[in-house]
Amino acid sequence: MSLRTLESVNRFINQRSESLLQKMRQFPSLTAWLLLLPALSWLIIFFVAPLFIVLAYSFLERGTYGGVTWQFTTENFARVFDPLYLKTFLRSVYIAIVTTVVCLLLGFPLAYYISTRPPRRRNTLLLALMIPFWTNFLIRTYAWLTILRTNTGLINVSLISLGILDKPLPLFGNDFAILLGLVYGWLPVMVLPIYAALERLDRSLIEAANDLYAPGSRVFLRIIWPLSLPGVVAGSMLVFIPALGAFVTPAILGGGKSLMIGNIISNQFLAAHDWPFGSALSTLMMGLMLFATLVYFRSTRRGEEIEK
Amino acid sequence: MPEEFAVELKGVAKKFGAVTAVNDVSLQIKDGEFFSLLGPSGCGKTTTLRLIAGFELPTKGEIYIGGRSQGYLPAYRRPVNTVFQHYALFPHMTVLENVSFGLEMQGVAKGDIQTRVGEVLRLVHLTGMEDRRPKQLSGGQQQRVALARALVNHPKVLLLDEPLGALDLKLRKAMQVELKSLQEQVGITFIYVTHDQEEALTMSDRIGVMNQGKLLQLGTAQEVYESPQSRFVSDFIGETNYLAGRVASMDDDMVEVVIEPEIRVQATSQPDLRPGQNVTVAVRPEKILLNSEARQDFNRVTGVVAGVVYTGSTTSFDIRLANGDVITVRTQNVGLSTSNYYHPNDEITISWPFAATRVFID
Amino acid sequence: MKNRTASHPGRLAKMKSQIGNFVLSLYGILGFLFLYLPIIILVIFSFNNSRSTAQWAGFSTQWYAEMIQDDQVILALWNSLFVAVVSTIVSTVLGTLAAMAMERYAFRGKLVMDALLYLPIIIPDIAMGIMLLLFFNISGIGFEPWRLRFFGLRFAVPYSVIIGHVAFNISFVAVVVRARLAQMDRTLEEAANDLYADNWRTFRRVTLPMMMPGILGGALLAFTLSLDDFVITFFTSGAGFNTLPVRVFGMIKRGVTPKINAVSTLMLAASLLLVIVSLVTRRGGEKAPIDLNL
Repeated sequence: MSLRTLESVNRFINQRSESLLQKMRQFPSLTAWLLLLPALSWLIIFFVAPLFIVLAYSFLERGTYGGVTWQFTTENFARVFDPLYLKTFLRSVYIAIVTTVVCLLLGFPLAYYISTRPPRRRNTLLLALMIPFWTNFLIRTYAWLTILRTNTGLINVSLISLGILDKPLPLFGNDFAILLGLVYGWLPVMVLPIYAALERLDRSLIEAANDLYAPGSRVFLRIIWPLSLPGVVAGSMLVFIPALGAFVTPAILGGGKSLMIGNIISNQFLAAHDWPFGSALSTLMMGLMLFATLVYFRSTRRGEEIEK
Repeated sequence: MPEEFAVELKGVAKKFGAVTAVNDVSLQIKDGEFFSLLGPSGCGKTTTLRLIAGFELPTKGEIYIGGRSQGYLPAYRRPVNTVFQHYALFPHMTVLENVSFGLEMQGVAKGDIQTRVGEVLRLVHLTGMEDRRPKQLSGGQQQRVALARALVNHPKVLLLDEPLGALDLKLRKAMQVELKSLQEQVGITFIYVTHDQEEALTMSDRIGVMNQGKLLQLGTAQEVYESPQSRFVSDFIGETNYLAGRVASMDDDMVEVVIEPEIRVQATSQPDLRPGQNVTVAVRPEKILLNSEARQDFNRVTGVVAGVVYTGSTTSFDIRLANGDVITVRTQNVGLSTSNYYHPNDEITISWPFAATRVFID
Repeated sequence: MKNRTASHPGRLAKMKSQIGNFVLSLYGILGFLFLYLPIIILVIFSFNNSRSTAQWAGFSTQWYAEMIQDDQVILALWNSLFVAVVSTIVSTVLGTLAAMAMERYAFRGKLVMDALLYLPIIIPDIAMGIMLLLFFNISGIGFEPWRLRFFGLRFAVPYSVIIGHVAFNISFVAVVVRARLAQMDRTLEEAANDLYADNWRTFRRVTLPMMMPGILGGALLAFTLSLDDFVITFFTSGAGFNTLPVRVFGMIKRGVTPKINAVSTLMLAASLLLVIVSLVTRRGGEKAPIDLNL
């Protein structure tokens, strides 16, 4: 290539980039969109599009050789009300609710405990709280498998060999195991927001209440609980949603049976190849979670209004 | 000709949405002067400074630096440097790197950078601190680094945004003296923003008093203090006594104001006064004499001592006048027992010069 | 009558509060014990001298030896690391750029973008897994790793898994970097401008170095999440492709032996290492562990 061609190409590029830079200076939002472009494209192609496909498939008919035929139908949603599936659906909701409640009952005192330690200790305790959460969820669930299993789990083996029991306790392959696994897995996530709310609590409010003759229980009900409510609600959301969508826990601790929505959905895709039905189930599950999230946002906004 | 001025603002206004932060401000700052923008929080002084620096662009009006209109030039193209309120030192760089940053950006040769940085660090008494990081320095030292970082670039104008606000009182007073002498030494125009009127009075060649986005008065410290042109300025700077009254009569030189029911005071005439107008008479506490003999061109009023407050170097006497108004008089405690001269309920006559009387239209 | 309690007025209350404190502390200790016990048991039994994961038969490192000799496990480990490194790099770059746009600019559609960035964090794994499964299937993109030859080394690039990991990691990186940007002192950028640095040089010399802790934190988070991920990987893996968690799942289905404990202990050690690394690098004057604020 001759020098002149190179020069003019160079000049061309400089001009173009100079005018681009000018544009960016004049229209800052252009810069913003350029910065967002890579992430946005990725998310649109590999997140939004798949999401819409699932939504679309919920309304399509299953094809004869797997796949779909382009027929609109609400049959997939109707099938959810089939007693078999409805039972599992409702049980999943039930398990998610119970998990949330148990996490709250166990987590609130724990959060309170941490918040009443001296400041330096608190950070260490928080770290200790989160370390299990940062480890692999599958492994933590597996740990419970080795502990709860009916004939070969730690609890039963130990209790039987110590002579305390004749028959093993049914701690595995049932709702109890799943609940235990879920509570164990998500407890730290319940504790954190509650701790944050409690930590912000002005101690002098409690002292003021004491000064005004309020006994411990009243102090809790009228002062501590209401002020920690935002944390409670946040924690509950953070536990309920993953609990509802649980897959690993029932798969490992549920004893190989499809016990929650997540497992049924997985089955539809991996075994039964009924994509439309699986999509419909997934859509319903996400719809339920969206509803719960909206309730959360509404409640926080109402909370703000009350504070005003 | 705009050539003569270091900085000139013509009809500059700045709006943030519905809020007008700077409202039609015009001023001229001379080369080499120490100019202060004084006013309460939210008066627009900092915004004005930022407009000059180029961090904000004016909604209306023109800004000239060294005679050249700055238009929409961004900050990095303007020949001014700023000392920020909280210093804005780059925490990930050493003192040396901080101070040489501007020179580096301008492409100054390495050798020259070293010389100039050395010079300016000597100027602010920070030689030897080159390798420290900002967080290893005290507040006063950080402030000096910020100063050095700006000065090393030899800007036409140095902008200072309440630079002494974060320092304790004693250090602040010491830095005020240092800054003033530095400015005289270096000869650069300083534009200094502060809400501390004492600071402005001590350091500035001229002061611009601002409130609610408007420039209320521009003048030397003496002009602003002795001849405040509005109640706000008189209020904001120093202490003042106010008496409500009505214009009784006036001629070209003097105006007479009656303060109900019977007190009459005279002041220098002002063009916008009319007989019968409701006005406020203002006089500063230190201008008032106690029980002195009658003098020409002095107002005299009788009253009763209502209170005595000893404040170390001065004593203030509250005098209640016949109509119930209270005037505070401040005297130097020259003798050991000046404050014991007069006691509550003593009858007393106070007097002050006509020239020290200001009249503000209500 | 009032005088009866006059002699011991505070005693009862004091006792009550002391008991209360004791109970609280006891509860706290039990709580933390509950969290750590299963993990400790897991690690202990990885050294068991028998096939049991519940009955202690003496100390042995046989399972670790078996683990190291298990080609499938080693391969899975390598796959996990490869996927983690690649997806971390991509998601850190994309997430950082997005965070800059969100924290420094105002533009129309920002709210929608905000919501879009939060969705991958909120959505449950299973939903994301199956929607990617569906997508890769019908788009023809497929799951079969690309086989590449790079300087004589053979690579199998599991692009479907990597795509999925990047998809959720972008949001996590963005959250961390945004937090860091939000707490950055904006006047520093003004100071740089004031000192004749144009916007690009300001970015390079001031903004970027100050963002670094956030970027590294985000990268570390992405790396951890990628290594730990099971569900999404499970649904986006081609036949025969395993990352370590997927392999462990397979091993559990096939039969429980302390070898799984050994692999698990390895993964726990890796997680702990990552936590320590993140703490040490955070020493540059920042606050305690992040909690995602939702």
